[in-house]
Amino acid sequence: MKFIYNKAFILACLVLIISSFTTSCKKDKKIETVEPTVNLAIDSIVATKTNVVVWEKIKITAYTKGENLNYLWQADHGSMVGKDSSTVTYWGCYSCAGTNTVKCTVSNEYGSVMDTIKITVK
Amino acid sequence: MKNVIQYLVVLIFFLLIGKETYSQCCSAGNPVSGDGQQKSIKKNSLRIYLSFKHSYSDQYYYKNKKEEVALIDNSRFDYSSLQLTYGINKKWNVQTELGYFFDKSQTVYIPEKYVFKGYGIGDLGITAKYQILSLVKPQSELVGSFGLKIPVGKLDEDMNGVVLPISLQPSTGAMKYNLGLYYSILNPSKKLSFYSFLYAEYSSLIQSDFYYYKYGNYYSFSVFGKYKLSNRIYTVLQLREELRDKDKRENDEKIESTGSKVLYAAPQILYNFYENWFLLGQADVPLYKYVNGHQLTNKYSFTFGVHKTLSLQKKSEV
Repeated sequence: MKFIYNKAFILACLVLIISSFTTSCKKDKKIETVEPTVNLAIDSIVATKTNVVVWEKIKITAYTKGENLNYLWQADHGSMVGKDSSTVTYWGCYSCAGTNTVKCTVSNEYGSVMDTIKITVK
Repeated sequence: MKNVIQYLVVLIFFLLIGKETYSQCCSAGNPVSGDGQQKSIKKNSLRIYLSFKHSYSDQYYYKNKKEEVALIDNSRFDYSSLQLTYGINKKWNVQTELGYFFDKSQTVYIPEKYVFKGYGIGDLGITAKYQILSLVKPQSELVGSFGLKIPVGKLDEDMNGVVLPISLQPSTGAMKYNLGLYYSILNPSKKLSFYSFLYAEYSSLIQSDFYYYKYGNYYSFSVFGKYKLSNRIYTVLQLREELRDKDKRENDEKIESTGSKVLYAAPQILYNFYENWFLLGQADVPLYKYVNGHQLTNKYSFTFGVHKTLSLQKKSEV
């Protein structure tokens, strides 16, 4: 009986440790940052508004050059929803009040480039 | 006994004062785990505690009043952790804890339903504990602790080409330092025992090129009453107050809608199902919530766990 409990407990601990590491330690492939060229560039990032109130939703679009582009959007404060596309919906909650930075990183086989836009949430 | 009563009165006083101090249901990083038992273990003993915690938050508060926010529906997490405590010698114990968020999600309506979903390894906790005082009559113990939480998990978890907000990342991204003080008083001849735990945590700035963010300091004060129902079943009632200071952003500007004060009742049942194996079930129910500004607050959480203490002492040493 004791043997079975010990085994089951150790197994549960091991499953937790192994599942933690196998899912969290997958190394993302680092893509080199390059100078903008005709093959890969962000021409501009445009928002429907840059001064918004809490919970107000806006669209932010990245205008780009290049083919087979992958987009990665990041905001230091606020939430965004995208569908792997050049446009995201952004909004800020109460704790996001202030001037926030939204970063867009675009990559393909030539490397990656990035640009930012400031959005003020009041 | 008189000293103990005085000590408990002071703790209860701390639980009830401080209206302008400050709850955060959905902060990044590891939830508070453990079963509240911070007592020291014997030399060469190993205590293993495996737990699972579910938390659900769907109530927006403005100060201490509920309010409706159409966009956010709920926020929740499922977190499992493994805590190991080892008795180095009679006075010193070392404890490590590592956990994994199986699900750390938020459902929003924009207006269509959308679910942000994060998962991954949390922060690694390492704590050293020192038995400051141990008395035989009454059987009591005072244990001090200091520890670190190291952000070993990811802070750049993304979904559909968008990096998730910090609050949904499995890691805090920041080093945290903590101090704790645990006091217990037990009387084997009686069925009731008491213990308490004071805890303070300081967070450093998030280690990132992109974020400038510092979590507010976190404090908790807990008192526990433990009652032995039968030879195998114990019940514990915990009253815990959690205080969190405001977070800071660029130029050390305090973020208004952060920081909180929450008083929890946490009933717990412990079942000694076999030798020194214990099963644990605990619910955390907020009794009082006060938030700075407007914040999503915790509705409930519950924890299940199993713990066992092993003796690693060689038979010849016993």
